[in-house]
Amino acid sequence: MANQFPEQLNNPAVESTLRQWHEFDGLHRLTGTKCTQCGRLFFPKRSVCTECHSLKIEEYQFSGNGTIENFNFQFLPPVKVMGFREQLNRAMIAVKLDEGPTIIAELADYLEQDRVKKGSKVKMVIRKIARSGNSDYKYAYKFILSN
Amino acid sequence: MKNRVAVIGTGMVDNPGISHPNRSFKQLLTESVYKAIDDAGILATDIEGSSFSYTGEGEIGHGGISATLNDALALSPIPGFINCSNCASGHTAFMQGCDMIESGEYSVVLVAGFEKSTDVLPFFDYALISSDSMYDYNLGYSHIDAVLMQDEYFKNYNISDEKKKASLLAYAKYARKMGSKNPSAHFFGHSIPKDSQLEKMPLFGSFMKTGEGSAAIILASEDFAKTHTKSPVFVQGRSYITTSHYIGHRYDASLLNGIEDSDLENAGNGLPLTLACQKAYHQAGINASDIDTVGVYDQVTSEFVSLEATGICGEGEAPDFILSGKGDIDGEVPINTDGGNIGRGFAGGTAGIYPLIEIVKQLQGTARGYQIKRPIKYGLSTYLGGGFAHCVAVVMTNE
Repeated sequence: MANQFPEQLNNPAVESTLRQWHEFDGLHRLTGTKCTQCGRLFFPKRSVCTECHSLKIEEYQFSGNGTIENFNFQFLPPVKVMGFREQLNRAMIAVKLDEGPTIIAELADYLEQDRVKKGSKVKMVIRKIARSGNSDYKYAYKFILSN
Repeated sequence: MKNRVAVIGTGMVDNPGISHPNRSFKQLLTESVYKAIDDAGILATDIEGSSFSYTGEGEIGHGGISATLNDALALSPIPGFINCSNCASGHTAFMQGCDMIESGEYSVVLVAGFEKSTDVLPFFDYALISSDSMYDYNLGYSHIDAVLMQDEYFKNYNISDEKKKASLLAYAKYARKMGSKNPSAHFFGHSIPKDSQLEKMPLFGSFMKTGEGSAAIILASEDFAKTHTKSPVFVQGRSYITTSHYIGHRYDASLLNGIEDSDLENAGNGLPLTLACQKAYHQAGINASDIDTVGVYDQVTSEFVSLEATGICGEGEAPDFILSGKGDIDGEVPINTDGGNIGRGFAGGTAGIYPLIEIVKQLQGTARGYQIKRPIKYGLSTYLGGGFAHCVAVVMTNE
């Protein structure tokens, strides 16, 4: 069974229903947090501000627009990441969100590698990712080139 | 006044570059620890506390494992502490062992670790989740996949593809040469591959050889060391810096408390290790130029970034440093004289203890492989965990 459907192997360290639920808006809507005291923005969510250490934190909705800071094309995975081996090639990018934070994501639908470069504008989309232990597909944000 | 910390004994399981399926983690650990006890010339009952390292509970199925380890080593009922800092676990266990001696509460402390990845089915995935997991591993991105970081280094310093290839290949060759003469190393007794062979390997052979093993160090207070060993090596300075597992956070140095200089503009910058080295040098009262030999975490470009973070060479200069032979055994500052992760082998949960032992051996003049011929005084051991999430620097001296 495991050999037949390797992507369906359960991985308890990351596959907790509750954990997915906690992070639902982060993974699906790019919701982060904002320090109400100094205004600093965070993604993924933080509960304490790195700047002023205030605990007065509220949710913040990022626009999903950003700029590529760095990129890499993965044609052969150096190691297996559960559920992703079949999804090559992949373009991994570091995105500086318009609001400030830099995040790591996959670039989808880029068609031509030449179009993927530092400084390219990107926007968030929601896409299918790996299958979870109960065989449902999981969804999360990816990015596409915005022009 | 703090107790000065001395290393009085070391032991290891040879060849951490392969699996040891015929031996359990308890057997591996027992071999290295009792070699260290023998080397120190003490009794097991002299040990007053232990500081262990391993990859984590997901690896071996034991939670709160230190009692099991002390029991397996027949050291109970002494206290035992656990350190899990990804690849840097061995170094952080060493840090804790030093703290224990310095506190004055302990005179003799065991620092030991093990790696036993073949015991548990999902180990590989467990190891790869050395990340913040939900926003990287969950999205198909492991810290070992952090090729973004590797690329960043070469891009930032405009290092040509030719130089990238030449320097990676030169280091891979050097590491195998060091390993070829070291009986503890994976490549012991192997012939050194030709350039044409290395060229066909992924990353020109500059990739670590992973496996299982165990290594152990006996630490003691200076007073105890003076009465029990003729050639103690002292810990002169040390520092441990944590940043973030999430690679995105490495693009913003202001996320680190007290760092005003936004020097960390990109992930290829080894700022966290730079901070660790500077603090260790400060403690030791020395500068980078005083270092006679250095251990760096060698895996793709990590050895370049680490070497620059130590201050032994300037930013963007590590490939030239390697190519010019300055890091060779008879060079200015010999690097990874036991072969490093690539030539010696890499056993995750205990990996950091192997290079610490090599620095000790070089300072004692008792290296099993290549020994630095000129007199040396200071050795620096650095190690990384979770791709610069954990950075440790330890300065040792024979004076």
